Amino acid sequence: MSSLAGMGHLSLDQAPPLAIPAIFFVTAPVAVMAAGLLLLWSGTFALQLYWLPSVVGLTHLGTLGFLTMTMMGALYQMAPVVAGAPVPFIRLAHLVYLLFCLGVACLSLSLMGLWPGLIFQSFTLISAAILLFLATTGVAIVKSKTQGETVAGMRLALFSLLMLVLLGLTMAGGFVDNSFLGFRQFWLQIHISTALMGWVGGLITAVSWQIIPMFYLTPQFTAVGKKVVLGLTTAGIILPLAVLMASAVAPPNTGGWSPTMLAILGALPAALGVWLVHPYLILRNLNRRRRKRLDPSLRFWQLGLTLAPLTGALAVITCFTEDPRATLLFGWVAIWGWAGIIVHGMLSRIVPFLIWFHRFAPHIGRMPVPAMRNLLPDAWVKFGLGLHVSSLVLGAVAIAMRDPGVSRVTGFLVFSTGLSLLHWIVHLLRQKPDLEVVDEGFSTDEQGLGRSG
Amino acid sequence: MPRILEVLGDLRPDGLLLLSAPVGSNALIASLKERGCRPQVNQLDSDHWQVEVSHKTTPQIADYRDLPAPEPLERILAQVTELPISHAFIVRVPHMPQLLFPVLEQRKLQWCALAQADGSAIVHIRKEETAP
Repeated sequence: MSSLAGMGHLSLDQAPPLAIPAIFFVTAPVAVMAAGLLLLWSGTFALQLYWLPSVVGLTHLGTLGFLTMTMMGALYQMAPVVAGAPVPFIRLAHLVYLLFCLGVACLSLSLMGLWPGLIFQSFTLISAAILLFLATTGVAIVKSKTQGETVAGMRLALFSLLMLVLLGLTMAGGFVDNSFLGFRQFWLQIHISTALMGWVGGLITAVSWQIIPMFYLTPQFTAVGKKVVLGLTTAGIILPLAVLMASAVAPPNTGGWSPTMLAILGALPAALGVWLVHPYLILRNLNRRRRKRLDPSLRFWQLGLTLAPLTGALAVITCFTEDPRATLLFGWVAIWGWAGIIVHGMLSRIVPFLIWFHRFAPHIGRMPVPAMRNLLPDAWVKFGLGLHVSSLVLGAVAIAMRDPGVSRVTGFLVFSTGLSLLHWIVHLLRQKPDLEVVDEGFSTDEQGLGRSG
Repeated sequence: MPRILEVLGDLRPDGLLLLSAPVGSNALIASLKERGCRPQVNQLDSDHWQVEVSHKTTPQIADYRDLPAPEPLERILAQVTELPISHAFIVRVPHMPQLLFPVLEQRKLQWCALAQADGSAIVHIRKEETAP
């Protein structure tokens, strides 16, 4: 029995200042533009052999500069709202941002050969940034009392990020003095599966349970479906790491099974969860949404999720072929296709919402306030999607054909996608209400609603 | 029944009482109607019934469950701005609107909310004389 007029208040959560997620979101497109310039400059060289420094640089501009940059900004925003975990020492986010930007810039410049010798510094900066991020946001989410698959998925993603830093640091040692602990391919395999399926996939799946029903009015997901995806992903992250630990104490080649093959088999459940079961559940729910109005960000979800099974299929193909193009194609589709398109789409929904919520929502009813969907023209978002998809398709062609001309056009389109994204994020950040028409005696707090209570 | 009547007695004129029960009880409904209440019965599952009991003075419950985020937030804020002092606004929303509450507090509006089994929520917002 509950009486609405008499029940106790829910605990109030504090949204972080707008500036914190905003600096991460506005920087992510710059990494995309840098990746485009790298492709324009190097042509096929950046899409040829996956161990080439230019390819490693391009990959990390995508994974760290675009995906992780956006995901860190999103976690700062979501930790208090979704997980009920206000981030302590929130101003440290500026330091995290600074260290991370410097680290990614140093890594890219070093790998592209423009400023050699910065590789060690870049790993140090990136690791320091991520560890500081984990020590604040990560600890807040881990300690959160909120239960459910969304928070559990966030924890898995953060655990994967921690493992990534440790793996990355170990592998960085191998890069610096060319001395890998064990097989390079073995470490690379675990690094990739932890990054793509644990960190990126873990967060995409966790967030989707929360925002898909909220933004697109779909039915709620069943607990069973969410638990299956979370269970598969967790198993697929833990098993390869267990193989890695076991290989440190056991002979590396036992019973005809190489550690690399064991790590691949161990990662299989996560591939099933992230690239097959999750897209099936989300796409099925999107088809059942109560409101059929087409939102441009919905197209990103549909396209990104449709690419997920293709990503999984390419991951399997890379295990059975020596052709380096298969590995490159897998990386291209996973980073710029599946994850990149979903993250691009989410930015087109989250950034307008944050601007609207922080700057306009307090004035509703007191002055004319635009609806959130009017802050960002649909045509701009659709144009960005068109550029993104064109660059994705052309990049796949460039990898298959090893054609320098096609690679450079791909670079131009990737750069244009980043520019389009940057353009509308800056456009949104510049939007402010005309405070001269607000009623007297009412003030707004840009630093975060709820702080003034 | 005595406990229900006790809570009903404490309910504000613009309040709403939600009863959850494993069976629908005609006797309970009839009794509530006799006392001048407005009971609304919803069967949520084969063994889960919910009765919304309101006074005749309780405002009509707005239903924003078919609006995607942040449209419920937009509409609620527009509604509560027009709310006369000592009046309440009750609304159904598709999800617990965590981000709404700080804005309501900023406007010095009293609120309370209750999550529903289907993930939706009912929010009761009241403007007191201290509100700007």
